[in-house]
Amino acid sequence: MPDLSELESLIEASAAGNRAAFSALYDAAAPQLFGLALRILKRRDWAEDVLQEALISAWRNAGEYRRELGSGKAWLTVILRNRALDRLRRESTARLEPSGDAMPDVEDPSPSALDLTISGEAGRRLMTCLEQLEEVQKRAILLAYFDGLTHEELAARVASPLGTVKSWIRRGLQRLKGCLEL
Amino acid sequence: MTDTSNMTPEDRDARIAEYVLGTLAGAERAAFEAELGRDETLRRAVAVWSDRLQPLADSVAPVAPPLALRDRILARIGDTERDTDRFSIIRWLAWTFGASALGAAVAVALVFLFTPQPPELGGYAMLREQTDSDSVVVFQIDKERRAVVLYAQTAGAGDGKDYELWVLPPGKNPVSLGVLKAEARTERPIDAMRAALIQPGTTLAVSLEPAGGSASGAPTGPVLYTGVFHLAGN
Repeated sequence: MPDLSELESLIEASAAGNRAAFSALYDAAAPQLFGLALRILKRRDWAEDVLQEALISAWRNAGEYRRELGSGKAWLTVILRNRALDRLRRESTARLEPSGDAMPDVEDPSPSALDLTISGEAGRRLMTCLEQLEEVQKRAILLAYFDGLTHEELAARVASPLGTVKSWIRRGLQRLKGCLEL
Repeated sequence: MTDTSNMTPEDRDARIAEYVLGTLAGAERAAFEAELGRDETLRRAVAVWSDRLQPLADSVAPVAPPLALRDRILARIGDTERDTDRFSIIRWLAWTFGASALGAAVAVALVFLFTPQPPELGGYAMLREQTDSDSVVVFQIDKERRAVVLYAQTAGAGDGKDYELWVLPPGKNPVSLGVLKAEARTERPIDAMRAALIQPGTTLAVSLEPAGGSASGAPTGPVLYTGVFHLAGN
């Protein structure tokens, strides 16, 4: 996203009811959020719905944003991902089958989640720490993040017992945190 | 359902991380969110984990959402009760430029620009590169021909450079429609003289110019994008 330093001020101005600030926020943040929605949902129609829900929610809840609670970008990402996960879970309940089987109409931009490249200082640190995880832990975490899989869906996807998958995720996240805090 | 306040610090942190990662489902997720609503400390902890994992979100390539979606979203936020902004911008301009300078035409253009209901589309052009790339500049003009909207899904022009948009009326010299920003949406008024040049079949082009646009008033750099103007609905 361009002008990252500005997102925080734009969210605050949106909270004050400034629609021009909100449209600037949209221009700065929407493409990245839309890319993420497409990555998680793999369907353009769902991704458009979710982007709309997320941004309207951001407008309505902008007053709850606090700088001390983290970056504006991360705040928007949380809203977007929550909406995307809600949508996935709703659709998979409706079809009584794992969401991973949804017919994708968007080509998966990174077929192997393990071929991840992240730029920037924070990105490089996270990459380094991900590399230190066991391969199964890393794979489970990335599948969960990018494909929006629940513990149960992950277990089905990688054909491993639920308890095992839960512990990969849990230990993986613990080690990630330990590594990032070094 | 287990409240995280009854958990060991390790279990609690693991639960927070799982929530942010997104693996909690159904009742577990609902219970966590209910607790989140009443526990400020938990919200802070969620924000810390969100920041940790943010580089993953950043690693995804951005995709420009459809223009219509932007209009829809901005129209929807116009429905909410915080409906004071249009007037505060006019007030701000009146402050900045002096109330007398804020003539009727400017006021009309401003109301037009900040009206939540998008104006009716009069026509458009899709400007593309010769090569088969995804870059595109979308040009739109409203039915009243008072404003244009530009959406440039392109790489940056580079240091000291700008993209400049031109209309190429048949048999006449190109006329500038101003510079545009890469990766951004620009909305601006257009004067009647320029608007009259934009007719069905007229070519629009984007050239690479020094920052701020061509000083001579004629294109000087390479033409990167071209497209033909169409009336909406045709």
